Amino acid sequence: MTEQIPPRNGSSSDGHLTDEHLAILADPRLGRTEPTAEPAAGQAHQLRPSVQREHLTLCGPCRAAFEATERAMEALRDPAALHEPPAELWDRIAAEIAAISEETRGAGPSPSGRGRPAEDRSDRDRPAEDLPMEDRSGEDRLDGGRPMASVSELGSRRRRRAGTAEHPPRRLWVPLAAAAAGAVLGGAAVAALLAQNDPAEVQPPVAVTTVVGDATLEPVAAEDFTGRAEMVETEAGDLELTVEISAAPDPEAGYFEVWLRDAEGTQLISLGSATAGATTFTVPAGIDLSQYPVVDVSHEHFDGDPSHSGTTLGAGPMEEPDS
Amino acid sequence: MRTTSLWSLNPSTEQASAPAAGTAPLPSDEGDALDQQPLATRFAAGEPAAMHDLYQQHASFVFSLCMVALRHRQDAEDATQQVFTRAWRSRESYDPSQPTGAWITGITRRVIADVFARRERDQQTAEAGADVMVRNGATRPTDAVIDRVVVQQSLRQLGPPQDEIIRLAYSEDLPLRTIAERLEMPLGTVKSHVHRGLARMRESLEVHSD
Repeated sequence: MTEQIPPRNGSSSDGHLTDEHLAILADPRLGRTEPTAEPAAGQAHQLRPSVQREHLTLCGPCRAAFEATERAMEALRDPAALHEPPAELWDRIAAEIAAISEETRGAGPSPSGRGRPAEDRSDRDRPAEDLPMEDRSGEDRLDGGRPMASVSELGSRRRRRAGTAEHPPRRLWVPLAAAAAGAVLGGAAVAALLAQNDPAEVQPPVAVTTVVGDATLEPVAAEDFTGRAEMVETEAGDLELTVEISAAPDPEAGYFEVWLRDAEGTQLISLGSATAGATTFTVPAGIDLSQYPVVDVSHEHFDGDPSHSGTTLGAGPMEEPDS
Repeated sequence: MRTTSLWSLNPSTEQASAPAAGTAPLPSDEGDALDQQPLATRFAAGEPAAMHDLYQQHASFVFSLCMVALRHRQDAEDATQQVFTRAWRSRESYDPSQPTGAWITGITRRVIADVFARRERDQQTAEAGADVMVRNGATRPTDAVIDRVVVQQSLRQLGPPQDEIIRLAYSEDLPLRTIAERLEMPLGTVKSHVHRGLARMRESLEVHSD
């Protein structure tokens, strides 16, 4: 506020309109010294704008500047919410760029996996990337989702997770599902179920998508909500969640957003917005699904607030297929 | 007993504990730009680190633009990814004497147009019905959308008290006198801030025009 208004293109002495002229032309309120009293003073000021308007018709650059000022005012009337991209988006881009660079270099596919964004990382990110797998703290890196796992890393990271003490030896929804099914199946049955699933994990993904879980979405805040969710592992080893909303209230001034969360609703990961019908999301690589066993569909408003609105239309726990 | 009993959270608990999820950190471009050649030059030279800087500088703008235009988070993320990979692919066509902002805006505009074209094709094949409902309301990537995001971005860079004054004057349409009273400032000072603020908005619109 102590700064002076920088004159546009030097000053009005070169015949062009200043910032102030442009602002007053675009918004006459700015030129009025006294909006109610002293009409005579206002009268005196109106002469100058007419001269300026004449200048506008003759001078292309000033006219462009005037039009841009009007555009700015118009654009301000309807404020757009700014959004920050998710932190892992850069990793996806870096991985793709690394792949492009390899293509153009004509090099064969790298044995470390096609997604490896090695040379396009900034130096900040490089040290961790250069460490051998064993030295990395896989746990720390999972929650933030960065850097994104390359395809070949996923398997080992999952197995590493399987060995930790806090979590049961599964990357899926066993804690919740087992707790629920325990009464019926008993511990041994659950163990058998897990053992049965293990080979799928150890072997590299084959050329099919594997259904790794599904959920029935039951109404919570909305009575007329029905839906289901299914998670598959793709050929490339990515997890995809398809959410099918078969009945839902009209989102009106809002939209549906799909989350993975814990049973308490204290830990959430947003997968993105959904429409009625089927929407497929890529589940962030490295996520520990046992921590986020519940699929949640919320009603969100266009308020730019990235957090859960608190209104869960429907939700349901993921379960092993056929369990 | 079915597991379905487990998810049925009490909606009120849910409300109380609605957490702040998905708050991504602001990219900081401080510290990168120092002691180096201008980003534009480094980028044109194909320097990989310049790509990261370019991302830091424009990711928020590009993503916001995609969010406002596409109104779909996953689409916006994918589109943002495409913008930057396209930028990398076509870096040889970039003229380093031009601001990167205009160039990136141009690419974003085309990527968004592609998404709309794809949606239109999808819609023709998809069943009509509720599926189309939400996306149909999405606005076309007109210049107005770009302008709206540009001015908000620029407003954020203005800082107080100008951002507040501009917001009150044009987003809330308050009389200047009311703003002056509310902020306890002379009317003339408020007007000066508006002049300068509008000039900055105008300049950022000009920078992003391609």
